[in-house]
Amino acid sequence: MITPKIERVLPVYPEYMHIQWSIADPNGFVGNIELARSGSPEGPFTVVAENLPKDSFFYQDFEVSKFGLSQNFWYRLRISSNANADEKVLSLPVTVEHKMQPHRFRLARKARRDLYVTLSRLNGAVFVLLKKKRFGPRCTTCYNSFTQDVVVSTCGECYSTGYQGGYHDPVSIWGKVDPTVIQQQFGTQGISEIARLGFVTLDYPLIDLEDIIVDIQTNRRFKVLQKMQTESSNIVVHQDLQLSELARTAIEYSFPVSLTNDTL
Amino acid sequence: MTLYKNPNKYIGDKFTLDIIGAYVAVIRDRFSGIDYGDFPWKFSEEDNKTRIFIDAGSVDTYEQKDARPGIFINRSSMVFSKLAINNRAAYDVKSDTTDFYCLGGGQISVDCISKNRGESSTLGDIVATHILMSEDIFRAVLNFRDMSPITLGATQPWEKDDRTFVTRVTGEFTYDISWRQIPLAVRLSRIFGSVEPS
Repeated sequence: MITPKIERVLPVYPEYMHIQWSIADPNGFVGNIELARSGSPEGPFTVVAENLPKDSFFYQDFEVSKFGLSQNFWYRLRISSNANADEKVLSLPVTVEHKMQPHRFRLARKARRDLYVTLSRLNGAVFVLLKKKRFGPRCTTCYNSFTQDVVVSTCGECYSTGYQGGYHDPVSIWGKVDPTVIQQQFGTQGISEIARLGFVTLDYPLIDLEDIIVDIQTNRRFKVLQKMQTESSNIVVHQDLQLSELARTAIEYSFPVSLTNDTL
Repeated sequence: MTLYKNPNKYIGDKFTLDIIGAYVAVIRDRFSGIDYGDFPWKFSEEDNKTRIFIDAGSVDTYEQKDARPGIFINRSSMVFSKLAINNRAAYDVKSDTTDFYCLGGGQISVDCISKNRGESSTLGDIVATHILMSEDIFRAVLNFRDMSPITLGATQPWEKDDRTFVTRVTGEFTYDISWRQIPLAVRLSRIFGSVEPS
């Protein structure tokens, strides 16, 4: 039985990502070792190294772009067995994170549970999270690869993100919106309105800046501008966000979201 | 084809709103009417159908808000420069009337606003070349003397409810102004001359 486990993912800014692993292989069946990377724990994963030596235990990923403060990468091992060519063993995806010491994890889990009960039974509502695509094939309609510009903000293929499809599949989440203040400004464009508000949700799925949150009761759509992760002993408990309500001409309103299913 | 005709009796020839209106009509015409295939910025007079908003800037009666992508036209300062001493063009000794003329010159600024740098820049390119190439039409409609130079400015970002970019296209324009002064005494003597004494 082959059991791969990624022990640590450590960024060595600004050059590379250090990935270290161990493989339990009592019978000596380890064959091809592949390391794959993704922008989310669910994938899709891209193979960054294959045919690694059987005694290797780390890899330095120089190709990863360490994009920004809220960008994470997950790594996963895939091991082939010499005993059975069809057998492939995957490790759990791991990213840069604190070791979850058991008692600290239990404290964080209690806080998460309390927030979940509060949101789902008391003062929360169901929202839909649209995670913006940050990897994958580029838009064939409006993306200019030489300057890396999106040329059509109303593009129906990439919804102005530059990536085909624009957003990942919608995910339903519990959340709570703080009271909104709508400010009116007057300028070259005539009257413009700004509505910024706070939003609280659970620790997962991880929300990045520029993701979209949809209120399915009213179809109001918000862009994530700021993010504060509340942590207990460095373990994420919940996410406090600052949102900006999108102008009614925004292309993000065209992204299809089911507005009838408010169960979670 | 968008037709421009000043619709308001209070707005005179070469008034600011007259000039801005002509620019609005000409730029709207570039983005509408013609079959451009999959042209993504088709303009429509109806707010809910248009793919781009083209209007005079800083107008406080528009219904749409945060309209993007959008093109907004404004006039900057105008200068009336002298071409002759005291602007005098001619003097008629017999009637004691004086003719004057000078040159009016100003600048039109066209803001091309989008949430994407690439789109704002592209709209700026389209507008700048269109104004440049429609100089003859402007001359015909508004009797402009000259419409150059056209300047395509840098694309600059600013933060609002969302990230926003603006590319400003500016164009100078000049036109001739002439007027006549008829002294009051001359006009009175004409009136007296036409009235028989009792």
